[in-house]
Amino acid sequence: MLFNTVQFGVFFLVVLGLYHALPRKRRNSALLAASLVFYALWIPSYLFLLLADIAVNYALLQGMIRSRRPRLFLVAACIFTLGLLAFFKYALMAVETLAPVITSALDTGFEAPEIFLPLGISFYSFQILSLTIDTYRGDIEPIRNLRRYALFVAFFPQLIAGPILRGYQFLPQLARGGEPSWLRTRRGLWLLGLGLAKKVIMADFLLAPFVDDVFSHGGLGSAPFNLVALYSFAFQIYYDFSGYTDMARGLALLLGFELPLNFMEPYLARDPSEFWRRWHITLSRWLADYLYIPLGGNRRGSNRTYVNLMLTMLLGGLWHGASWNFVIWGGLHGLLLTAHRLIGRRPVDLDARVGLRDLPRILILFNLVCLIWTFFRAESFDHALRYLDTLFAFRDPFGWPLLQTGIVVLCALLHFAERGARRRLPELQNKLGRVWWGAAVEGAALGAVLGIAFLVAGVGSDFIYFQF
Amino acid sequence: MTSPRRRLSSLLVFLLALCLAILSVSFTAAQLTRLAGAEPGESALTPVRYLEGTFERLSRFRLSESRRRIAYLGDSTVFSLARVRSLPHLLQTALRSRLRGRPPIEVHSISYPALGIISHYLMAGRLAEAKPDLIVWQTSFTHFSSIWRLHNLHSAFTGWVELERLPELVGMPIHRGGLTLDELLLYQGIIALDGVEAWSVLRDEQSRVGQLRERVESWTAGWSGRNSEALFRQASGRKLLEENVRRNEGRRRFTAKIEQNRYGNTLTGLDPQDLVLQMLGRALDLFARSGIPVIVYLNPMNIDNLATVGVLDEGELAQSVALLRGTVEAAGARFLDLHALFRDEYFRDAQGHLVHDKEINADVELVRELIDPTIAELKIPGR
Repeated sequence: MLFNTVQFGVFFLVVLGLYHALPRKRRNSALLAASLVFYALWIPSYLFLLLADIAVNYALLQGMIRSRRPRLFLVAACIFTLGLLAFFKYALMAVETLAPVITSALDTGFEAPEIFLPLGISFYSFQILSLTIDTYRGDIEPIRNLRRYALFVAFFPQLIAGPILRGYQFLPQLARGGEPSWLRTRRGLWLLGLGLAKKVIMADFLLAPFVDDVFSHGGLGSAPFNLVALYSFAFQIYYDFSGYTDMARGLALLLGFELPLNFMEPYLARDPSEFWRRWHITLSRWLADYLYIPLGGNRRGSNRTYVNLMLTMLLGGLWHGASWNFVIWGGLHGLLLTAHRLIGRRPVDLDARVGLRDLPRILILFNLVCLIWTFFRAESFDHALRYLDTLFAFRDPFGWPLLQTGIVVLCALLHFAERGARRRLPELQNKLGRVWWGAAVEGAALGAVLGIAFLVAGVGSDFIYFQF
Repeated sequence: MTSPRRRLSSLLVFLLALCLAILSVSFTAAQLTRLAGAEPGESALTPVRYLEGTFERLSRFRLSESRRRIAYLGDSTVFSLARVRSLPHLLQTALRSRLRGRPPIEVHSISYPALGIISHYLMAGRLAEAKPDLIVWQTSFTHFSSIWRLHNLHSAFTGWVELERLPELVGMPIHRGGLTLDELLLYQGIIALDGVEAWSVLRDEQSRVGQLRERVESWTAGWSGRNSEALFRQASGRKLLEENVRRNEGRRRFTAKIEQNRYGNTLTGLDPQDLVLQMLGRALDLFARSGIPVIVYLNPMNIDNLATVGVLDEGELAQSVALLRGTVEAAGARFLDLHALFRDEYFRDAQGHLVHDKEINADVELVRELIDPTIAELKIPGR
């Protein structure tokens, strides 16, 4: 069930009503039930897979807590969780890669089996693993409550596309129970409204149609169209995914929970390392904590650091999907990070003011990131190469797509504005909260955004990150 | 800290302002799209509304014993914007001519582009309720492919599924048909709440906004002297066709990869547990229980092109045809295998639409194959 649908609106209103009507100690149970219903409304049979994943991992976790040889249970949990993820996500990729061999060996036509990826498996698998590993490391208090464990994994606002939660962030909140407040409700409504606007107005209405058009005809031969489509896609995927995350955070706030930030204006990054501290932050953090650092991080000399970076980014790419294009996408980002380390620049402060002198670095990095997005968006490696070939051939038979260029400029301006809004909105909300007409202004402003979103919602499509 | 009373009043003011703003902004924006001259585009409800009229006509003469009403189910190969060229109309004309108007025959088209077996399964209850004297059901192996199942808009038809058939529907792996439980509940809810009209108005307004972009493109073209985006779309459409299709005696034909995608696993042997096959069987069972005779035919395929591009394995295709025949005949319906009826030159385009010109009248020839079985199934006294 997509957040930008009427049916989700009805579902959430019912859940919210029941949640507030129930006594505090019953609320987690109600949320767990709602989360399972939410998941079952997509493919009912996959609910059993989710429940099995939760049950097996919880049993292994309890075994680990009680055992004198916890490492065995840790390995078992990793094998089980990653095995399930690999089966659903990568079995098909392996079969498709081997299909030509199978076809020639059997001398017959071969149709790869149709496997539907369980919604959110990449996200909740990483969440389960982080909890198990953190418990093993002693970083968090061992959890001994199945209901709370299940809710940690299946909490519906973030179940299917993150943010990827960590035990230390969410388990204490679950232990206390949701703490809804007027302030959280206002923040939640704002995040929900802005997230919806990002998704339906920006990503689906203003950006996706042009991107789809140009990428489906990538070999046509127009450099300006390919360039503008690449910029458009960069913003489309940002608005799509960050819009989803904002909605997820907003929904959680309405239920009284805080979810972590997942995006901080990534296209204002000045270097590749900063980009990954601003883009899909919870995944970057996860990869750093459970892959890059255990591999040795930067503690084992320069060469090993580069290898670790490349490995982490290649696997990060593969996490996004069963396609060699994603691996290439990850690999190219790995190369960027390696090159950045070779140059020897230090990481910058995320909260440091972005000045005019930063602009060249921002623009260079943005363009490099956009070029790498080609492999993420194109249907195949050949398609991506053809797309880039057209881009650099500088052929221009049609002129500039003026309207879309204007939309891209608008997106860039909004990206800067978002940074200001993120920093100043809480202060503004505080001020508005002190005057009687503040609530009316807030309601009207949010209503205006929602009104437009409501009208353009019919153009909508799935969230890009739901496929991962 | 603010008092609970103050918080409550703030919340009420907030919600009131929110609702007023949503209503006024969406209303104003809707008016602006009208002023810009944007017309409503296609939405998931377009085929639903189109077929509503057909069902209404089909049901109207239910009690008239003198007339024989045939429902002709199919996709775009059956449907035609020029109604006189549609297969239902050709069948009606041919039957009237053969039977010399006695009894009067009406053939109602329950066809629309991109409709398939799944859509017709979803509306089977309404068809059974309309009780036609015969159903002629065009099926195609393309209806089994994942492209057809997952990317065609049949979800709106879930609203037509009667309550008593819901357990059967939910018991099937409907996600393989691009359907989800929440969509099913949404459309059921809209029908139950008698909200079809309001929902249609909303979808119309939304689809109107979808058309707004092209209007704005034309305005910006006024500044630069040419509409680059429109030029690109036109040229890219041509280019895509040239890239993706093989020229074959001047006709556009698909490549091996596209043909494999179009026909899916029917080319390599259909799975007996296939969702589409299950739905076909269930719908036929329902028609049998309602006493409605059914003729199911398998649409002509461009076998020549499949052979030329190297994806034709006759044994495996025959296996798929046999499975389809078995499913149809097990439900007591009549099966006509027309998949190899025509050679390459009978196909107008790569999608399998038929040629009708001075030399070849493929659609008339196809209808000719249907006439005798149709008359036989109608059980007209004295024939």
